Amino acid sequence: MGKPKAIVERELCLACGGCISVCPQDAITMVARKASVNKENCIGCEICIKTCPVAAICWEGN
Amino acid sequence: MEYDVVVVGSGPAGSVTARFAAESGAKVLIIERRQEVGVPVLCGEGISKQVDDFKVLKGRRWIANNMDGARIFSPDGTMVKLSAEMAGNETGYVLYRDIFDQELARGAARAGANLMLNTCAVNLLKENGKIKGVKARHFDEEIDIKADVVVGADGVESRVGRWAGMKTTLKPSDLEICVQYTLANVDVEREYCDFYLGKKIAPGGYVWVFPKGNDVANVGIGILASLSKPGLATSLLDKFISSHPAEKRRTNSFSCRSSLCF
Repeated sequence: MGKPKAIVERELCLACGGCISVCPQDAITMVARKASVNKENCIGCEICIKTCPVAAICWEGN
Repeated sequence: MEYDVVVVGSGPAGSVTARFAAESGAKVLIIERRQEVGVPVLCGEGISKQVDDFKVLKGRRWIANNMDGARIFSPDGTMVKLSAEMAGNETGYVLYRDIFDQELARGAARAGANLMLNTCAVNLLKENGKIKGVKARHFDEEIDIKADVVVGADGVESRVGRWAGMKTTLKPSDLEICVQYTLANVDVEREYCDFYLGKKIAPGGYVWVFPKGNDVANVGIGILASLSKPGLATSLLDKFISSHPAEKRRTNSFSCRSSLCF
């Protein structure tokens, strides 16, 4: 098992872009007006999960 | 498609840049990934009246309310009033930010700039390492927009800057993350914008209450990203609202918006 990855719950995301601006891997982009994590680039650093003001990003599988 | 200047993003920075470029005679295009300028509203519904000095806005439809000053509440509840007489430039407007952005975009259009909605920049066009324009997606179509000047006004998550080789990633200690509600049926008929400070109320930031006229208010919170936990901004804002009688009297018909600012 690799490191856990972040995943966006699309129905909660309000598309503010905060996660995109703090992601050190440039792994998050806006896809169809919601944030979306590119799993290949995600290193599981958790910064986006902590940053999200509405708790729309969590660990995949949780 | 060929322009002198292509501006990515139709927020205030993009629209005003486009306007002045167009007024100077440049052929200008603004591209905006959203289908409507200014929607959804993010941050920034309270601004200084110094905006009038720039003379870039027509009409008054973008003003929700005129403020005489600000009231600042310390953690123990002590209130300091910054009145109009004491704090000249602290007087301000509460905005309908969507109409505000649309009016600025109209100003750019009047000056001759073109605006394309539903058009998302996907990369820069480069030739021999020199930036030559923007590659964009308009619905399902990829288009090349050639331009001598590219303006990245694409917000806090700017990708234009990254594509150009700038390091735009922010440290969490340099970012305020915010969430706001527009509340209806609240008792906020007042001439002051309120700000509440304290690490238990809003670590590294503040809670704001901006009356928008009648029984409507923009109530929001900003906290420092480095002090944030998942969803903390929302839970602290909900806690604030439920413990403040004036703001509490709300119906279920509020709208929720998230945003961020520096």
